Amino acid sequence: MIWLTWRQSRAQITAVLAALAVVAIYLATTGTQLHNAYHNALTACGNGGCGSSISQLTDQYKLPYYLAGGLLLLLPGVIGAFWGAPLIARELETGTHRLVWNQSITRARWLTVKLLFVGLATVAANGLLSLLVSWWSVPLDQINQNRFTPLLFDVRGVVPLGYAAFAFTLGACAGLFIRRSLPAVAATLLVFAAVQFLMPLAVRPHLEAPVRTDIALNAEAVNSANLLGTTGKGPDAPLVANLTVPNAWVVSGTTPVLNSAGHQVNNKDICASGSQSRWSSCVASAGLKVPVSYQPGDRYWTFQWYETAIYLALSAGLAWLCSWRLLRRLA
Amino acid sequence: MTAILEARGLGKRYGRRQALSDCTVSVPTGRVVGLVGPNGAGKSTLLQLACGMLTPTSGTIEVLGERPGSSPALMARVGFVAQDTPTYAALTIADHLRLGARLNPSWDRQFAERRINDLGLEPAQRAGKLSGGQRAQLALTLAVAKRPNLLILDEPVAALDPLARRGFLQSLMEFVAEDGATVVLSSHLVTDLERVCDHLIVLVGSRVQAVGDIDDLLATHFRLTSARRSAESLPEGMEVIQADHTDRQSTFVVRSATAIHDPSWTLEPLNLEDLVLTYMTQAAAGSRTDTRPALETQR
Repeated sequence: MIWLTWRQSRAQITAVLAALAVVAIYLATTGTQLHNAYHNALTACGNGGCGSSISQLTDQYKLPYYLAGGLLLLLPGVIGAFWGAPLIARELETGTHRLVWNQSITRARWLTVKLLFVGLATVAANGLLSLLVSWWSVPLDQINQNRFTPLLFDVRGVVPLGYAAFAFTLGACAGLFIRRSLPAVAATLLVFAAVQFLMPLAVRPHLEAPVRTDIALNAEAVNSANLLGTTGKGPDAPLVANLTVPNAWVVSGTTPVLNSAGHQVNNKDICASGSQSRWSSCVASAGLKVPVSYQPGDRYWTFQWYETAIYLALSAGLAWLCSWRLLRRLA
Repeated sequence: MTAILEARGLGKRYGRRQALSDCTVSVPTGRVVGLVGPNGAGKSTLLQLACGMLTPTSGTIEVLGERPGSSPALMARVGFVAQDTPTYAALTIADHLRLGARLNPSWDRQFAERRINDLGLEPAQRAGKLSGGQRAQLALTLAVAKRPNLLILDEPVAALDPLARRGFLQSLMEFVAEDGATVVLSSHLVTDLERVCDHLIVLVGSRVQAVGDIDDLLATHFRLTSARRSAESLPEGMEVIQADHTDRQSTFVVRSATAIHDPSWTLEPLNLEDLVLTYMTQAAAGSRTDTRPALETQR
């Protein structure tokens, strides 16, 4: 059965592995350069004041950084849909299930081998790419200190393995229930995208209770803020901020800026007008604070494993659903 | 005569559609059994229940004394060729033989290779490039090289041209002669089966209308023509299957253990096709009196 599964899927597996090999060579070359350049920059400027050479680095490697991230964001869904959905649907479409189910093996074994073999190939392909991309982006992640933020979290570490397993079993299930390859591929992509979209919004922030704290709005905080401004026009508009915490994931988003007494402040109360830089320094010296809740950076791997476990559990559930359908209903 | 396949009160329902209901049938060991019936009689459903592709919604079916498809050991003893003789289009003939060898413990490699060779097929050719007849032959080879005790073929020749049809049935007969296995094959055309079968099951509306060795069936069925008379006036022991009356003349198809000759009628034997058609017509006429919707009876 393993031989048959390999014989049926070898063309697609070889093609994807070949494409991945090209990507791997590209990432290995640029990655080595990036690691060397980062190392040199660090040793050249000692422990501080290397802002310019470091920011040059992020600019210089912007393209492969986004390409690798984008690829790893798409790969689990695409492989899951195009390998998973036809896995059973193709057999049902062409009637070959009636050939293979009449050999001397049970349907349960047929399903198990197919799911395990192609499923592991899916996970392995994604795992390889994730490993490579995670290694590649170590310097840039250290510079940006943002690997916990939603999109980057998805393309680092072990979570892509969970996504791949989930997308694949989802595809297999969709194929079994819809019984046609193409609609099953479409359904898989749709559902997988929806789950990927909802995960960082609705589930991931609640895996552990976030830490709540007030951050002093000093010059450093003003400089690293994602957003600092007013929520409307006019002098009465309240001041709001979306701050970053190094290596952490700020889950509170944009929150009102408070004064030392804990009251919301308006722009006109602080610094009514002036140039951008003068306004910034004015705000930074006004003794304000911003209440934020965030997931601290030391929880990064806990979250990676939690989320991987969630997706693996979903995959196991889908695999069970497949076998239930195949052994009970389709019989 | 022991039964290799035994169905009792067998039924299969797909959602709201009843494909087979209350079917009781038994297939004797060592015969070549033809299963005939009109389209939609439940032949395919019955055969798929027999090889474990489907599970019944009511009643029981046993093959070789076990529930079909219940164990790999049983599956190794049952060969099945599905209606459209599916094969993997992307795989070569050699791949298919390898598939058979890997998935069946009792695989007869020499037989499979010899047959492909005898058929003049190129092992490196992809199954997708084969003609319908060649594909059917490949599917039959896969099923036969398992060396099954029971070989089930669902309308194996329906899609084939007359030449391929003859070739296929010839191959089937060679296998039967060689192995002595029980074969069940279905068709809606009795002419397909006449040459290869020695036992017949007529299935109409999921009910068995007639069953028996073909020789016995032919020896006990007659067409009787006489001056107009009622069916009741025929002697005891003659079962009237069908009666037709014109103003002057009556024609009966009767089942009778012996040919009773009487100067007032002419008695002639039926050929197999007439016999089967009579049963089919009668069953269809019977079902018309049911409360079924009109569409149903037209199938």
